[in-house]
Amino acid sequence: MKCKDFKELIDAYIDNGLDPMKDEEILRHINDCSGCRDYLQFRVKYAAEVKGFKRHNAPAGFTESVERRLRERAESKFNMRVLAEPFVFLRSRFSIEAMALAGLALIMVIVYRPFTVEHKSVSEIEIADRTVTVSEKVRDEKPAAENKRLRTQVKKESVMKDKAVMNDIIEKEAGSDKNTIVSESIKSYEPKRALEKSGGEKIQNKKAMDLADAKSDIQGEEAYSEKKSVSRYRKASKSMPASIPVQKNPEQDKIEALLRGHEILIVELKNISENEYLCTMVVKNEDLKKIIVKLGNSYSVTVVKTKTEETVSEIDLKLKKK
Amino acid sequence: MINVLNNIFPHIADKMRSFSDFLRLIICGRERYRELTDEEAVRAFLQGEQPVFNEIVERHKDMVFSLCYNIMNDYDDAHDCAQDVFIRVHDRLCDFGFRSALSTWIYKIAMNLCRDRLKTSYRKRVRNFAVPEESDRISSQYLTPHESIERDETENAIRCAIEQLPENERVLIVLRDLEGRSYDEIAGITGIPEGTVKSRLARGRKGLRSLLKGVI
Repeated sequence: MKCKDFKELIDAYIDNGLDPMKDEEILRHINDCSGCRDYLQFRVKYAAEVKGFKRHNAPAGFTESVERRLRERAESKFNMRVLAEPFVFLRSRFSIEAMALAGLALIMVIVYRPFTVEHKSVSEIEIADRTVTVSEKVRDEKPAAENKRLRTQVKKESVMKDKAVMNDIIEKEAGSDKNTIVSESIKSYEPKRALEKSGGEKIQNKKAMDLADAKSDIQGEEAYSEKKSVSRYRKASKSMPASIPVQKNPEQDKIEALLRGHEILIVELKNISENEYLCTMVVKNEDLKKIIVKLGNSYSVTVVKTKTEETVSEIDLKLKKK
Repeated sequence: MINVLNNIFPHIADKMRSFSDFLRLIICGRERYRELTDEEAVRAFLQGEQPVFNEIVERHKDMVFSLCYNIMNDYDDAHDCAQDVFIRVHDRLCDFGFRSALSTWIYKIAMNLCRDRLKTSYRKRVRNFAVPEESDRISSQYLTPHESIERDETENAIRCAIEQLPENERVLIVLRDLEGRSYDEIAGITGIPEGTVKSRLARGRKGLRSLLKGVI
């Protein structure tokens, strides 16, 4: 028998509470093998020592302390559950998907601004009701499908508005003094038709006629046609929308006072130098000479350009103070 | 009396019967639970009778505390660990499959918890060598003071030697030599084959022998 087998045998004896010294075979082996003898001594002593170890039982009140801890834990769990109640949707299986969808929708709103377009169109319609200039602005914007529709609507509405304004002016003109110089901002809305109705007695405003031409085009076509005759008017209306008060040249009042009694329209009055002006005005053909003579009293007049039509002429005069 | 009432007023008799059951539950509740076997107690707990858990704790607290103390070799650690064991038992009692004895199952939980604690840095803090209560010193009450001191010293030496063993050998030494569990039980608790248990125990004892040279 080998030493390893003897050690196992010794362990078996001790584990079963038997005395290995009673086994003759073991006794014979330990007489010859000092290693196994030492091991047997250690195992017997060790087993005896361990058997006499104090047993440590649970202290008094152990069960109550376990019960208390369980109760405290249950209360804290309940409190946590109550606190987490409003966020219960976060535990939902679809919470991540729902939040991702919401995020995507938010990004779409930020990028495409679907509601802003609606808002813009409404505001533009409001402005377009007051001035033609805004409709021009709309025209200049990107030719998106939405803008196209909007532009058509604005054009129709502005034409309708112009008709209403026209009727007002006609009524006003019919009742007012013939010699009254109508302000440029109002006259600019006068279409040709209104002037013709007044039988040539009214001021035949060139600009107003041009505008009337333009509007007839709008009614007929989808887009604005850039006619030469209205280009200047448009320029002027862009720079001076109807809602903004016109800054009059101080010299204009003097000229108007000088030509009181004649039906004129000063389209433009520019300062060339300190005492020199370039005046563009529309006058009746029959008054043309008289006006130049009257102006000649205060200014040295040079006729730069004349454009004559049936009853009215547009003249560019260079005026220099005497 | 209930029989008489039962004949005359059956509703009142019913109510009195249920009330007497209720009183019996309050007064004799603990006694009733004590009559239950471990399996019956577990079934009662799983059916919603929470107070029966106290009975389970009462039955196994000393066994669990002793194991915790023998493995941790510290009184306070053993106290905390034993409490944690029963809290874990409370949480996992629904997983108890009645395949083994309840004590084996609780032992397994206790041993795993102790091993987890040994692996963490929990044990690195300063040890508390609290002296156990005098009532626990049953085995030393017939010894002379000199013998008692000598035995305490030997015990401390052996415990310190066991503490120095590798964790897998240490647990087996505690289960076999200090707790007196059979090889079969140890194999069931640790999940290690019986042959491996024996070989590891032999290795552990060899290590103890070298560590305790001059002491034993």
